[in-house]
Amino acid sequence: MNPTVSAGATSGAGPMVPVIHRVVARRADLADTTTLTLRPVDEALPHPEPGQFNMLWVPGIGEVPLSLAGLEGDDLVHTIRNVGAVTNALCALETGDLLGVRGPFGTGWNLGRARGRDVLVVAGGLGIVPLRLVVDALVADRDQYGKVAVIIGNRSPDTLLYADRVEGWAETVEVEVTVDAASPDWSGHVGVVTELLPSVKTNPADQMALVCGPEVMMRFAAEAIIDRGTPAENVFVSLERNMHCAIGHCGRCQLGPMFVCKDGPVVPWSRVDPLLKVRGR
Amino acid sequence: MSDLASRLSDYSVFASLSAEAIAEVADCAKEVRFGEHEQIFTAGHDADHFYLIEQGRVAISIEPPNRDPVTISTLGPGHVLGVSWMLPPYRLTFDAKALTPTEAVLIDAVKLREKCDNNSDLGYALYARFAGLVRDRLVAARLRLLDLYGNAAPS
Repeated sequence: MNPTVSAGATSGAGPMVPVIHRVVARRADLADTTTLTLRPVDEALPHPEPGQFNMLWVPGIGEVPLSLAGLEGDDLVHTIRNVGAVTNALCALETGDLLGVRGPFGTGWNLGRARGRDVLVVAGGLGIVPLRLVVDALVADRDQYGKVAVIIGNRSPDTLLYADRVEGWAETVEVEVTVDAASPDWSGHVGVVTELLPSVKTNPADQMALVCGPEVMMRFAAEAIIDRGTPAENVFVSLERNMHCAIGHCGRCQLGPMFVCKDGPVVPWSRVDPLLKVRGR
Repeated sequence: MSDLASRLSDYSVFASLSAEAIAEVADCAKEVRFGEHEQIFTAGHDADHFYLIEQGRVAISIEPPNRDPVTISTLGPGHVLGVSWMLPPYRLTFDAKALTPTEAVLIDAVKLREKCDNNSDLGYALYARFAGLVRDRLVAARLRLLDLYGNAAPS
């Protein structure tokens, strides 16, 4: 329990004022990864679009940007990997604890522009989190899209996030999981995500590709997708930067002329490719 | 062009290869099948063959001393299984086993090497394409060395 948080702040107070939420469900996904369901104590935040992010605040510790993993009514679902002081505190929260949330911020995947076309989703590691809502939507509105393929790269079979959900997706859309290393009892793919691109059934020339994962993985995946015939402007990636204010004022997440918190995190590869080639960014 | 030659031309490793060159490769080819969990080849043996996978999934693995076998990569339809045939000492480096019932085209590498020795145009075309394949696999192996999905992954 963290009694120092008090309810009362609302979204009407402005984008810098956290809205108090209560942890109503907690699931330990992996040894270092936890999914929290957060319910607004008072006024709910505007509903985010898949791909947007919130700032989660633990009083006395700090605030971190986290992509939305799910939306259940007004409840926000966030999956958090414990990699630092704030995420450690978030992962330690229990049901009933309070925390602050600001958001939603940034650009989303905008699935509307994919209607009627093939969709290729490529997720690497924790990059599956910002894409979870996207695949849920593709599955729910299956007839609104052409062929849909989901490629997931992961470290090992036993560290795959949302394994049950991924199995469910595979009943409706093409899903391929590949891992970096596996024991012989693993009958799935072993290798990097780009090696699976030739075998998916989507049409490269008329597909929208959504890619999220470590930046190196996104670069290789985006270039391989484009090499196979997808126009660069139809390839979208979700960037990870050190978002702080989340409203384009502080400049902590600046990438060339962009503020990733405001102009991203979801951006077309054609826009971000030249920026990522500059060393030191 | 024979049916087998036509299927060979669909493999990206043979992309834009001339019909004459494809016919030379097809002259070294025959269809084979492997049952689930059947060993296809074993490290240390002569690299007298390589395979073009048409159906199924194959695991490339190594068995380190005093350790369980480790699957290094898997290959599926459209993939080439085996590159050790290209260069001396023509010795297989890893084990290959069918994870599922697998259909493939076996290429007699000894015969194909002889053709390459006698026809430098064919040899250059094939070795250039297989060099690209080896480059792609080297890049993939290096990416995995980075352990990209460890704790530095985005959230």
